[in-house]
Amino acid sequence: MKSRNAAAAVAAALLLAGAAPAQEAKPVRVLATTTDLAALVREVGGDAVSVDCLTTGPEDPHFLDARPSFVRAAHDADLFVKVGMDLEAGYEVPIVRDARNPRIQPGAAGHCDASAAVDRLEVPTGAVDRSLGDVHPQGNPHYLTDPVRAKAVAGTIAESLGRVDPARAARYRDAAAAFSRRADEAMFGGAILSEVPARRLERLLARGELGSWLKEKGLEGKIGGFARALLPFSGTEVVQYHAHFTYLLDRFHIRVAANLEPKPGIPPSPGHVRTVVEAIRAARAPAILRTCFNPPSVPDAVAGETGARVVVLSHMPGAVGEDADYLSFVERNVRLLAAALGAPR
Amino acid sequence: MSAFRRSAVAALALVAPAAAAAAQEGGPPPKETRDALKELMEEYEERLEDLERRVAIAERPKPVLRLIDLSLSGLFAAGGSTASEAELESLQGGGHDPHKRGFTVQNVELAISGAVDPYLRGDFYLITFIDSEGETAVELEEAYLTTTSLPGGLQARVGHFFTEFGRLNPSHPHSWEFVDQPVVNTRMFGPDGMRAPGARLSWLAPTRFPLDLLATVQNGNGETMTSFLGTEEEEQIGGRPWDAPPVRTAADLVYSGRAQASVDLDPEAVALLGASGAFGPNGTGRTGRTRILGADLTLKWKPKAADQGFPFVTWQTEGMVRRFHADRYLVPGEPFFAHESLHDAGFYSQAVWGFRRGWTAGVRWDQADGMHGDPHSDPFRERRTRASAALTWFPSEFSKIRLQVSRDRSESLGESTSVWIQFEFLLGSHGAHRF
Repeated sequence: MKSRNAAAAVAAALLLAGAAPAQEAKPVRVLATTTDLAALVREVGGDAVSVDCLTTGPEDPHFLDARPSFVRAAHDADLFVKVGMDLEAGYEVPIVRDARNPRIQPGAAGHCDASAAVDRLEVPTGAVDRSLGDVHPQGNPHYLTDPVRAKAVAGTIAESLGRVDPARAARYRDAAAAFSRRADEAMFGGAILSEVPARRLERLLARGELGSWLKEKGLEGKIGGFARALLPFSGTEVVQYHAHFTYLLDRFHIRVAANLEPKPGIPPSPGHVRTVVEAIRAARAPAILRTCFNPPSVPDAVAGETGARVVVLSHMPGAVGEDADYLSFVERNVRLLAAALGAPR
Repeated sequence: MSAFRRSAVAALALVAPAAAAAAQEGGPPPKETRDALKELMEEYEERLEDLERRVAIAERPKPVLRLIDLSLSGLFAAGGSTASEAELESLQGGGHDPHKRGFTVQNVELAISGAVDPYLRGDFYLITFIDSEGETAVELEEAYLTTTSLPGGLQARVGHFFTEFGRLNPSHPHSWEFVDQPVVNTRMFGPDGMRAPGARLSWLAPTRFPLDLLATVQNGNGETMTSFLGTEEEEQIGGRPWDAPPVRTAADLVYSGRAQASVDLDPEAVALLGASGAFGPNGTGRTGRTRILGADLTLKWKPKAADQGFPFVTWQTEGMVRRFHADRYLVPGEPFFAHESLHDAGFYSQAVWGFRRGWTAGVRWDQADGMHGDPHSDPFRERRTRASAALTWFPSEFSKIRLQVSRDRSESLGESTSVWIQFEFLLGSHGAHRF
């Protein structure tokens, strides 16, 4: 009798244990190097990820100190996401190597190079050495200013999250696809996307034919978003301090007449500034673009001499002001750029 | 003609007559036409997608196998002092300090590092320099393996390396903010810093703020362990004679420990605190033991939107005390030395202000003193103070030119003033220095 009761009790306990609700899966801990990557990780991961970032917004991502608190954050991370293309070369090794974390070492599942699927610009041809300044031998790494390339980055992040957290891999892929749709809407506006697929619009824009094609099809009224704001300035020339916004400008065929830095990372010299002033006059460039950490004296002086406007754009979310998410950061840049290019001289 | 074109021509040939007929009649194209066109479009669609996929893969960057990072840094100085050359030799005690009127090749360092395998990293530093007699010297500065993947926040290092005591000892001369090393470092660790073959274990504690605990064991002999066993047959600290027995047990090795913590004061400022200790035998006899304790505090400030890292302010202070317990020396026919505990202490405090991109200004105060024994007649234990000011220009991250003026006051040599110019270049890929 007693043994049967005991057996029944054990069986009941086992049943109850089996019926207990499954534990909530822990969030994946991600360490991102720049705030734009952190914003994209949040878009793809949602509440399944908890994101730490080495920067807060105004910092120059080329020059970060490898603080012990960064090494500590890297030790705890399940996934390390970097911009790549040697942008983090100055500090990635001390942070990742001394993190005592095999999960995030290069080549491991938890090490994500966000530039893997990005179409690169300004890849140097021929031999490159330091006599050319701080040249990036793999190309211009500031690709996250372009919302179209951000879609590819979201896909890469979703793949990495899926490798680290296979149980939710489908969810990450869906979130990346949803972000792509939102990016398309921000880029072209919802109205035209109901008639023409985004990929077609992107191809037309890349060939510089979007404006004329829209006119031909009578769809000019339907275009919205970033394209509507910046299409009118196709072919305009501007000057940058450093090639930070090349990808955004290139997307809309806004050309760069000159950079204030004679070589990447080398401060403007008086001789070079004279060349830039002449280039601005020749091209009738309306704007000089700089980041919040570029010193204002030379751009302001050049603006004074030529009548061009200095525009401080965000090189990553949070640089110039609070940006709720990645698309708000792009929207701020597009708005400031359009205002500067469209303002009367 | 390619297969693609052939199928297109075939489809059109099929479709054209029917389409022409339909156009003549003015009605919509017949069903066969629509179906043939639809099939053609689907085929194009599939081939294009395949092509796009292949191009995307072909455009991905080819990974580069990076086996070794190689770099060479050269550090040179020129200048002079009101002190004579003989006095300079004892005032500028650092092995790589400029100590000659004229030019000094302080340090040419070859650094090789790389990932050995998924578990280990290797680092190797070879230095060569020209001493004050004009002789070339070559030294193995460091050569060690470090683990990268031990569990539990552990990291082990094995090889020949600088003892992680304080902030300056483990650093390399070309990363210093001044042309010479502080007096207290020369007194405690000798001209080349404290380094020896050994092993070190470090633990990143699971605390919210970063806390690193280190335990090291190293050999006690050699010219780079001057407070411990030092060089055989050579005079020990305080003029004591050498009388050490051979190393027999683990108690004859030097043990050091360090605790270092970091506090983020805000996103723009960090405080680093450390406490270090080194314990081991010295060369005065069987019961000769040395104990060195140190504490350091570093404050770093840099605004978020810094232009290539400027402006910034760094203030670093380190203090050390040494108790050198000397054994009795009783050898017939030679002078007698009693048991003695010699105490030495010192500190330095340096502040560096990067006031403009590529420019830094630094000031340093150096002080050291000795108690017990007869410090007043010993240039390595007497009271000494030094004030230095340095202005440095970095044309890029990889080169620098520095002007330094020092005013030195020592009991035996009085006051002297030195002026030095220093040049540095760095070729290759050198890892980032410690924060």
